Parts: sequence; structure tokens; C-alpha cells
Amino acid sequence: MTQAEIKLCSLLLQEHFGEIVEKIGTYLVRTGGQPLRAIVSDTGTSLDQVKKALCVLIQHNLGTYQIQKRGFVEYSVQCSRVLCILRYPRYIYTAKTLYGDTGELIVEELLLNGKMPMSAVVTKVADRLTETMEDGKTMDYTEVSNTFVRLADTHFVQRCPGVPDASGPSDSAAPPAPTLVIDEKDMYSVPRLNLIGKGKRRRSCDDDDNGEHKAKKQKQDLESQEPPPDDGIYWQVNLDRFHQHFRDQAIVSAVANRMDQTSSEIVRTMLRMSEVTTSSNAAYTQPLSSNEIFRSLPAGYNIGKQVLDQYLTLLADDPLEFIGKSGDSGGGMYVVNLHKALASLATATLESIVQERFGSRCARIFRLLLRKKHLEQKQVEDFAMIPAKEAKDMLYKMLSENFVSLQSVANLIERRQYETRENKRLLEKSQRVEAILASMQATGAEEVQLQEIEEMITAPERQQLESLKHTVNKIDASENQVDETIFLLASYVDSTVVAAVKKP
Amino acid sequence: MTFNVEAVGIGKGESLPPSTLQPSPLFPPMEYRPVPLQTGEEVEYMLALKQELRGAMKNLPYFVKPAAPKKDIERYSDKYQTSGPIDNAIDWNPDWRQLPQELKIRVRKLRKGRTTILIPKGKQRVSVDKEETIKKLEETDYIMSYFDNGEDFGADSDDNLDEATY
Repeated sequence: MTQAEIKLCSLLLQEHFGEIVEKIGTYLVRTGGQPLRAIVSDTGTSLDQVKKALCVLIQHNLGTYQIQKRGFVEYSVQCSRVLCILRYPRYIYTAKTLYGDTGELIVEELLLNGKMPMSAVVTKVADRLTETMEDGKTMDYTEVSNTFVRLADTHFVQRCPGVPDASGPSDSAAPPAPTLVIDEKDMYSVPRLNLIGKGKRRRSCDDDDNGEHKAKKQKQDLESQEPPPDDGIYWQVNLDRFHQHFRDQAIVSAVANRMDQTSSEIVRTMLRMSEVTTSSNAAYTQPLSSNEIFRSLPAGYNIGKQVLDQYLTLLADDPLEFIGKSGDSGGGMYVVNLHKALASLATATLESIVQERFGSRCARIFRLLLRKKHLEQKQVEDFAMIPAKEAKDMLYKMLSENFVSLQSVANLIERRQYETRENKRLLEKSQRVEAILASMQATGAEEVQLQEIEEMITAPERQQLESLKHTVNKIDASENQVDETIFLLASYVDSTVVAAVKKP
Repeated sequence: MTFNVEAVGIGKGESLPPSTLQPSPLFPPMEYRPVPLQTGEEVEYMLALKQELRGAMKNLPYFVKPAAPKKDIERYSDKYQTSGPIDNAIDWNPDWRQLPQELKIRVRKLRKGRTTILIPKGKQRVSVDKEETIKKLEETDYIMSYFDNGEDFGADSDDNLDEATY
């Protein structure tokens, strides 16, 4: 773990969970697994605050615990998982493109809360969607449930490990912590719930009777707290699945740029067919026959079988080797070479960075060096089909560049926080003025009065605020964009680590 | 030199590069202008998402704030200050069945009506709705956030030994 990764983890934890969680989280990232008392004494934080922080970290799937042989519990935090906080907007937006507003809110709720039972997600999302609908319209629970099921079926959300059903006699001493387990076959199975109902709006200020009735009902709800039908079954977002989707998107887009729309659609079809059968670190997809691919092409695509075969041959012959031919049965068996594709994407990213930072001449030299290595190493390794020496060199370059990217994001966040702190007073003043304006407008104030309030912020102050907003937006957008680079490079680095481990 | 310079790659008779007298400039001049940031609907949407998430999470109970320092004297404004959870209890409901026993903390029941505030989504996320501000207003007691009892005046001092220590 590099200093840059730790620094970025620390900033992300602090921004989203506060300084106490940041202190405990960063400590655990640095030191590995620690028991409760060590955390308390080493960080100088009160026992209660440490407990709170650990609960938050575990709730958000950032930290875990393990029962050690001697009976005490050890807590740890995964640095790589914390870094994924940077990517939350991307996960949510992807869910929106795939499953609409409902999908978007489901993923957002799960990310904001870490783990939730399905029943809670459905009610919350239905309420939120209802708020945005026209008066009188409400969102049905069934519709939200259906979208949830689709997300589970396609593995974008998954069940959290849970307490196993204790059927035997209870021991005299309960273990210090439950051992949570999940069976592979249960990971995406949705419990049979009979969720009937509609979303509720938060505001019902018009009807006094209605308001009273609502208050009574809320009181009843709190008092009669029955356990929900899916009590104990929690769901979380499956980040790996989203990463797989991002990788697939990058590959399809690269094929579209390098060849044409039809080629990219064929590759997209192949990847879609392999979605749930390919493990997250597989070197290539399962072999798919040309016949199967033909049958799975999207409805609008009217290319003949022969044309498809020609495209597949062209793709397999392309020197980038995104697609490989693995057999002749079924009209020809083809795979997507995932690791090779990642390597090509990472190389292209690096070449682009060298070009932008050091100019075209350097970029040419850089490209020549990479190609030259390729020509010298004639032997081909089975597992990744990238010569080991070249892989090692590229790996080093990726790691260095990844380090720089991580450091960049940390710098961006610090700069953004600095700018916000510098303008704290002005920001607070502006927020107060906006709040006053809003409440005045709601109570029907005159235009003249509103203008008076608006003038509380002077013209130079307004300019300062505009400038601050522009800066913060630019920095936030940069963080998002650099994360795309981090994702590509890290994916490549991770794929080679797996390959290296596999090799005997 | 106390070591053989040839081992580092400096040949015989070659002059050493000039010594560095100061750290490199904070903002070194760039040889090439950076590529402009991406633009478009997707980018704008994700930017808005990012900023909204950051704001939303600060208001969730998972954002652990440091305990309020003990007051030296009772002040009139204390009645109107927002305070954190009483006696360090946790502000949400973890499932204690799935956590180590040693982490158990008292749970403070959420006050009636004080549900977590999440800004509802309209079609356009980019512009902040006046409606949303009003909704936010209804949730927050304006007196509590506006009233300043002057306690922060005079800047934070490191010598506040009356603070509760742990």
C-alpha cells in the first residue's frame, strides 16, 4: 500500500464519515488487523467513539472483523474498498442508464446506507420517487421490487453474509462475535416478500385532519415495531459487477473507435452473453459459438450469418487480439481476451498520458520502446499471452502512473477543501440569505423586499462565490475524470497479479 | 566522493550536474497545456451526483461528529443549540446480531418525524430547486442554526483544559 493510497483513503473517509471514522479507518489501513483495545490506546480515542467508528466502517462494508484463535476479535479495513468511494457517482449513474430512476435510487440508497434489507430499500425508494411525482400520483412497491429483482438477477446487488440458522443446542458461552456466512447459491436469491403498498409523501401540510391522522399513524408505527418479513437478510451493492461493466464498456468503446459500430455491437453481444458466467478476474470469456452469437444479436441488427462470420474473423485477426478464435465447432468458437484487452487499454492510456505531458516526440519514442520489446520476446506465455518481461515493464510503468494518479486525486481533494475553508464565512452568509429568500418567497413577499435581501450579498462577494463555485466544480469533475484512469490502470495491474499467482 | 561514482553511472571525467539549492517550484511552468476536461450531460450529471452525495452523507447518522465540549456555565442559548446524541449513544440501528458483542452501544430512538433528509430527485439534478430549500427549511429548526451565542468568538484555543478528556 502506497502513501498516496493511504492519504486518499484518509481524505475520502473524512469527507464522508467525519474525522473520528477517518482516524480509526486510516489507523487500521496502516496497521492491518487490530483488536479493540489496541485501537483505543494507539489512536488516543475514547472507547465509545472507537466503537461507533467501527460500527460505521463495518456497516458500510469498508471494514470487517475476524475472531482470532485466542478468542479476541480483530478489525481491519480494506484500502481498495475505501478508494471505491470515489466511484460512487459512477455506480449510481450506471444504474440509472441500465434500470432508470428506480434502479438509480436503489443503488444510491444501498451506497448511502451500506447494507439494507430489501423491504427497507423498497419502501424508501418508493417514498423518494413519489416525492418527485405529480400530486396525487404515487409509486407502487411492486414496481420498485421488480427493479430490485432485476438488479439481483444481473448481480449488481448481492446478499451480505449473514448469521447461519442455529439449529443445534445453544452453547453455554456465546461466541464473542457471530461468524457470518453466505452460500454461493443464495447470493442473488431474492426472498419471497409480499410487499404491497405505495410510496408516501413527506409533506401533507394542506389538510389538517390528514396531518393529525398521519401523526397518529407514525406513533403507531414506532410502537408496534414488528420485524420486517425479510428480517436479518441484508443487501449490498456488488462493486465487482459494476467494475466488470465498466471494463466491458471500455472494451466495446475501444473496438468502436478502432473498427466500426457493427464490430463493437458484436463484441458487446459476446460480453453480455458472458456476464454472469465469467468470474471477475478471468483472462477470457467462455468460448461462444458463432451460431450462439448470431442468435443473441440485438433485435435491430440485421446482418446475415455470413457477414457475422466475416466480422468475427476480422476481429480475431486484428493484432490487438481483443477477440480470439478457440475452436471450429458450432460455426467457429470465439472468446473475448479480457486480460489482453485490459493490457491494450492500459497501454493506450499510458501512451496518451506521455503524449499530453511530454509531447509527440516522447510519445513516439515511448511507443517504439514498447513495440521493440514485443519484437524481441518471441516466446508466448500460456496464461496471459504477454511476454513476461514486457508485462513486468508495463506493470512497473502502470504502478508508477497509478501512484501519480492517486496522488493527484488526493491533491485535488485537499485543494478543494482548502478553497471551501477559505471562503467559509461567505458560503455560510450566502446560504443564510438563500434560506431567508426561500422562506420569504413561500410566504408571498414583494419583489422589492426580495431584492433588498439579495443585495445583502455585494457584487464583489457574488463574483467571489461564482469563482469559488467554478473552482470547486472543476476540481470535482477532475477527481471523477482521474478516477477513470485509476480504474483502467488498476484493473490492468490487478489482472496481472492474478495471472502471476496462477502461474506455477 | 566517498563512493565510486562509476557505480551510479557517472563516467570518468564527466562533470556532475549542478547541485539543487532549493525545492522545485510549487507550480512549475507547464510545457504543454493540459487537455480540457470532458464535457457533456453524463459528466454534468455525475458532477452533481458527487456533490449531492457529499452533502447528503454529512447529514446521515453515519457521519460521526466529535463529542461536544462540556459547557462551563449554563447559557440561555443552550436551549436552542443542536446537540449530538445524548451520552454518546449511536444514532442509528445497527443489527447487533451481526456484530461483535464488544461493540454494543446504547441506541437512541430517532425522535418522531426526524427522518433522515435526502434531497428528492427531480429530472434536473444540476439546478438547486427553491422547493428543496423550503423542504429543507421545514426540517431544520431555523432558530437552532441561526442563533449564535458567541461561543466561537475569539477563535479556538488549545488551552481549553475543561474539555472532557477520554
